[in-house]
Amino acid sequence: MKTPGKMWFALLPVVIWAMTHMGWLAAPVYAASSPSLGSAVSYSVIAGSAVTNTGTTTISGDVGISPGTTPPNYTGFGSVTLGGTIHDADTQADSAQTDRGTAYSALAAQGCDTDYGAVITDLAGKNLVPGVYCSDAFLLTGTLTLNGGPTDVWIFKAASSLTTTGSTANVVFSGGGNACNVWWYVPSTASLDAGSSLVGTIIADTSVTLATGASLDGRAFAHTAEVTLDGNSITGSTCNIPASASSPESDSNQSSGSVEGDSVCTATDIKTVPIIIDTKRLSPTSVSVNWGPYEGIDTFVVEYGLADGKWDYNTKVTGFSTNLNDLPANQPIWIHVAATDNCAIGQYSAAVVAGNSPGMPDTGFAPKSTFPWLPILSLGLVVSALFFLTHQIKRLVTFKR
Amino acid sequence: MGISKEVHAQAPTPTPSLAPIPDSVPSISPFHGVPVRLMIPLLHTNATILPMGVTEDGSMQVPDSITDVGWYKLGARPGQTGTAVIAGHVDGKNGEDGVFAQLKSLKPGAAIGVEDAFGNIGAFIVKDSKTYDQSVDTSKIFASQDGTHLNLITCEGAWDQTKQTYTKRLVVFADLMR
Repeated sequence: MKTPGKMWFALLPVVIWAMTHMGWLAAPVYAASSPSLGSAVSYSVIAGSAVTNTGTTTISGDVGISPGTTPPNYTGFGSVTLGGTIHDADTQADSAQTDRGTAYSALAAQGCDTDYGAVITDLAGKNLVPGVYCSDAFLLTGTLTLNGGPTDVWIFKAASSLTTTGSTANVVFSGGGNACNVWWYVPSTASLDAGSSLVGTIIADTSVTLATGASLDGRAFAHTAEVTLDGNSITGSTCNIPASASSPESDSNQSSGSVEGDSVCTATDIKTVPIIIDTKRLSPTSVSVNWGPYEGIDTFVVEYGLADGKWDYNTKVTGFSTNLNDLPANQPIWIHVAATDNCAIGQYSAAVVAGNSPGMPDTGFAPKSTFPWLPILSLGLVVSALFFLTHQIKRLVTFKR
Repeated sequence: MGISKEVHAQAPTPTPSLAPIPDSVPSISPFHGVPVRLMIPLLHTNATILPMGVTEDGSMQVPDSITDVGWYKLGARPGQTGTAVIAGHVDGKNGEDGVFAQLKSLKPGAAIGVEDAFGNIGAFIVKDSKTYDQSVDTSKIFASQDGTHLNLITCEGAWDQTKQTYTKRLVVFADLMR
């Protein structure tokens, strides 16, 4: 008689077959959702008390300070290249700060897919699929790889702080991930070391500090205290495509440029390389774009952003034109387009700046009436007066006679 | 890619800043900063240049003041490869002359000067002037990339009571002097 242990050993191949073919061995499905930023979407920087800059800094979107004190609550902006507008303790800043808080709460509400525990977790060297990652504090001393597609979401929830250390600290995507879909939930302070680079939206409850030369492809939001800048680059301020996605069913590498909804698909050989035919500025916050040619594929991925290569927005279009709305007001918008078979994305078109052809300016006012009312009235009065005087003189002469 | 550096004066009140110009548009002149002053000697014009975007209907914005001119900040800067566009009023609400009231008298060969935020002055030479319908396709006026152009625009034609605008636009085409 076989022992139970030997029976299990004999059944092992069957069990493995069943697990692999029936999905039992599939990696857990992580789910993370990007929070809505509301009116904060156009902001690169939000601070609770002040924004202080030193050195030459580039900020692609708006800057808001709320509640702040009596304006100005920002200093050192003589050397800032600002793509947006400063809202200093005004109603717009208040609204953005409120919406920042809503997004912060939405991040807090999401459960941890991976919880590193009460430790300071160095993310350097990690290759992470989409999901919600939690730790007492996060540290980045080298390269963090985020492995997922353009609509996948990564959320890092610290119980205290986020710190990058050294100029080698950086984040890379494998699989076409998007900085718009990376979130840092920081209940205390976020500090980016000199020369380091990070992607994603930092939502800190206290303060955010970027040391000399640190760069952020995302946003720096602080609730109660300062955002401190020193010769930094903060780009990719806005992402108006809400992203909500599950991770791939396994943590194997995705093919570059895969798109949402591709769980069952077969990539075709996409030969179409679109050409953008025309763009037009429709309003301060919207542009239109159309492209061609039709070569058997009529579905396209349109990526756009505030600079060439900074594709902060994306949308999928069936057809050959679309209007891009809710853009940062009166900013140059770069666009490129690629065909997709809903499984893979083909080669992108050359990037163009959209909306460089507005309507003609209105540089005149209604002309004043040119009919000579005043001279005619004056002449009428004079004639009437003369007639009256002549009549009176005649009466006087007649009376004397 | 980087974004070209520019300097903004610090102000106590929040002010929208100028759009950075992508550096994939190559500069061919050391004169390419944000334009701040327009000078047309023949017309005795010396006007402040304000950065402009577009209005809600997608038209280029213009300054409120009839003595200032507006530069289309979503296009090229004067001195950069491409087309820089500056617009100014032809008249005011009370019929007084606007900054570009005499623009129609600017003939080919006339000189135009533009000062940038760094104090550099670039000189442009008028090549041509044309009148267009107000609703014309503006791509060749705003987006030509075949040179270093400066186009000045103002209103012309008859007043359209229905549309509350003039029916025509005068465009003066100028190129950077080499």
